Amino acid sequence: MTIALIGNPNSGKTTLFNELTGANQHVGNWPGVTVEQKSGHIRPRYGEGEIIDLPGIYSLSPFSLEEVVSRDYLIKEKPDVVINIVDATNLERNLYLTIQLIELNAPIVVALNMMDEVTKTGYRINVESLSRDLGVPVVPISAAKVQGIKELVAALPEAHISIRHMLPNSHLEHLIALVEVLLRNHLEQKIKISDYEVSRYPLHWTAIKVLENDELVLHDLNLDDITKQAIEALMADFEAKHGLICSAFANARYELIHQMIYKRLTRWSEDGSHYHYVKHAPEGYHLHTECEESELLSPPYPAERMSGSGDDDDVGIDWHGSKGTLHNDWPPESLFIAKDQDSCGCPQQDPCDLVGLEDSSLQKRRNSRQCRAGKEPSSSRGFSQLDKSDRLDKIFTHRIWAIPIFLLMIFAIFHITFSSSFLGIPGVPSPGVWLQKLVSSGIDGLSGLLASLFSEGSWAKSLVIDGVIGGIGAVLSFVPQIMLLFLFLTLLEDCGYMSRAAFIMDRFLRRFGLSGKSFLPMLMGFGCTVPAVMATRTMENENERRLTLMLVPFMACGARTPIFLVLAGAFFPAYADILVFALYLLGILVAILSGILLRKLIFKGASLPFMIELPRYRLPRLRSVLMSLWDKLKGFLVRAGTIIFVMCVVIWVLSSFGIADGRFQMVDIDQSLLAALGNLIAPLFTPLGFGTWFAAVALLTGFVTKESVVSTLGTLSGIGVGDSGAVGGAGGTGGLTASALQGLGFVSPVAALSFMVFCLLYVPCVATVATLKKEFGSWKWTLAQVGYSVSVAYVLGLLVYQIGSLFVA
Amino acid sequence: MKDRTIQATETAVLDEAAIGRHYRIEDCTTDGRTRQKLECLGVVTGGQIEVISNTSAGLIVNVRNSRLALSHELARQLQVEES
Repeated sequence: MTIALIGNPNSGKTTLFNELTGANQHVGNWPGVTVEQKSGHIRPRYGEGEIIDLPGIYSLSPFSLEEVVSRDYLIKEKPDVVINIVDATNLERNLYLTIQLIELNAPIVVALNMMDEVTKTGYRINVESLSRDLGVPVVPISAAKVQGIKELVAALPEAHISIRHMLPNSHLEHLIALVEVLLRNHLEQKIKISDYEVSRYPLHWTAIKVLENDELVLHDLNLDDITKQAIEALMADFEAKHGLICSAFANARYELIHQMIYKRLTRWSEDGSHYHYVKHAPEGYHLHTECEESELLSPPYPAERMSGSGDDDDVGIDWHGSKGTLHNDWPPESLFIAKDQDSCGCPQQDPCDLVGLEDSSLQKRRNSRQCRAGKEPSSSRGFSQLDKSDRLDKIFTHRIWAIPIFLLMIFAIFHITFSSSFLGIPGVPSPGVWLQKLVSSGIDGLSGLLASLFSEGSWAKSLVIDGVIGGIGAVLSFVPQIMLLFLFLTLLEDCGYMSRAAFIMDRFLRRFGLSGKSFLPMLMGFGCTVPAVMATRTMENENERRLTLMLVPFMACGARTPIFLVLAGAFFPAYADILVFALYLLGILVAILSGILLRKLIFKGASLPFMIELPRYRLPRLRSVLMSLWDKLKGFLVRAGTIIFVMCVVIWVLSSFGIADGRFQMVDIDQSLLAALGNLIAPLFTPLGFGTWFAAVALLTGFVTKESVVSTLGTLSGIGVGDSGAVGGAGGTGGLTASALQGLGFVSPVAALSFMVFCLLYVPCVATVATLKKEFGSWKWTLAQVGYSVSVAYVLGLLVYQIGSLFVA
Repeated sequence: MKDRTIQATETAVLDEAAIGRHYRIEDCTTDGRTRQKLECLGVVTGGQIEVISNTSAGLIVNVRNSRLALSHELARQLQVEES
């Protein structure tokens, strides 16, 4: 059985997926696109089947790649069951996708998630009648508390295609019917009906999509001119009379949902004797209600529970029967009055009666009713009660404190991850640095252990110890810090803060052609470019994501810092700290200017005005945080084992072999192929002030890891920083003096400065390139980034050396 | 004269809407794509909207019981009427 899991972002989809599959997950990409595809087997304890986790989306309209991917999957792959996870605390918005899934004829089971939170507010959702209305099974669950999952899986075989719901707008339904007729004619006339498989695409869905001007469907249909003109005429006629068609669809769908919800939500009356209906749970409103969670979460929902206020059948709401009528005719006014009076006697006694968002007709009706009851309609009352989440937002999005709080948090994260004097105490490493040292010494130990297995001076020893362990070890030693950084960011993401951060930074970043959503990846770039590149995944606008990917490597990552420290310390001892800081700023400046430039030249097109859902704050769930970390770690280790491994071997071969005495053999590094290569490209760097093969080779090894620049310089200068230098980062570089470096071709401090600038900006390391390739999804863009950064580095290095030399000379 | 003043204060752009009051969305003058994205998030003409906060960063609104953050630019393109 193939099961697709679909739902809004923040609806608990990942939690449910993790619960259903456990560790049996595979992460890959959807064919041809960079959108991540997760799939997995259902855990034996729940049953069996293969689950595909579709991206978190709000609709099936093809605005984003993720929506297109989801829709294509549903249409083309035809999963046996679609689990539509719905956030029960946010029914109205979440059911919008459900309605679209029903339009698409998908076999659905609705998983009504976060039922525990609904219970907390004292409200209940009549699951049974919601299921009846939607025409598909609805199973109440709590993914976070692992409740109702078994029942959900048990309900999967019952999934079926719902009957199509008439939209509560007769004009629109009429229009759909007409277009359906036209489309049928068109398709029947076509000889090659397989061009557009009617069986795969339900006709009414096609009609709706044609009316919504869905480019992908229109392209598939390839309508002839007559049909096209007829449809366009119909659409123009409708829009002239009733306004925009797309909006009419959105309105009608919400109206439909509204009708369903209005009678689905019940709560106890004050005396606890019966239920009455309310519109929407006002958040933070606590009733004196005891609802047993287990009761609520045990489907099927006991029908007698509803008898207090009368089952909805008694009330006689049958919106199916009202199909084709204008939404203004629904619901009959008497229904409201009767219900209100029946259930709670008098509206005044009930402070939360009918609170919630309502459409205009209901609102007006309510107001008129309230007027009749001698009560002024009030608009400042009711659902504006702020909940806990809003109160937190008052702090975290405060007009003054938002940004300081944000910066403080980020500073704390970086401090814990990267600082070598934790809490300002010199010599006390932060947890991140401590972990890094631990792993480094582990790798050193392994290296020593392996070294004893090989005979002294053998090429195999050199390959394993210097090439593989040295190279991969240098990368691996940063894994703890990368993971720690990710842990914090996942926590922020999981508790809902990330969308706030994007919100408060948006205005600032817009000036540079970026948006709030690109801020965190840029910031993480100061730590390590690899997780920063991975963090762009949360960005929905592909154009902007690519731009961010282009810019992230300009942020000076932690591994570049040792280069600055060594060179600045040797040549500009008095100004070392200022210089390092200035280099960081230069990185930011280059990123900003590049952003403006690339936006104008390549990533054209207006950026979408900023809008983002702010999910309710909630406590992060350890399980999903750990699983997400494990995913990232696994991905990183796989890359370390594959592409980084290969690169390390290649660099080792190049640096260890050469042609000596007329034959190809192992040689010292200064006679190696790498040196030859260095010599070949060294002249390129003469205008930059460091045109020696030493510097060139240092830069080449810097491609493997940026720390290697320092260790290579150390090795070449003969001071013997040694192999462990690469592993230990800045460790063991104290011996590199200005004179030693001058011997390596840094003829002047200006040349050293130029070298630093070049190191700051040139090609990111192998691990980054590999990650960029994964995130860009193509070599073309990856190479474009590499080419662009090398060019920028070259030009700026040149400028620094040439202009600087004028002053020094 | 007085009537007209009241009329004028009743419809406004969302960016100028009072915090904590409920408005009905009258018109959305954004481009089609943006409008459709808004609609998916629950912002439809005729629907209700409430401004929770309005700072230099942008607005936080309550739409269908979920919270959305919108930029000022966007909020200026939404015509609302107090309800």
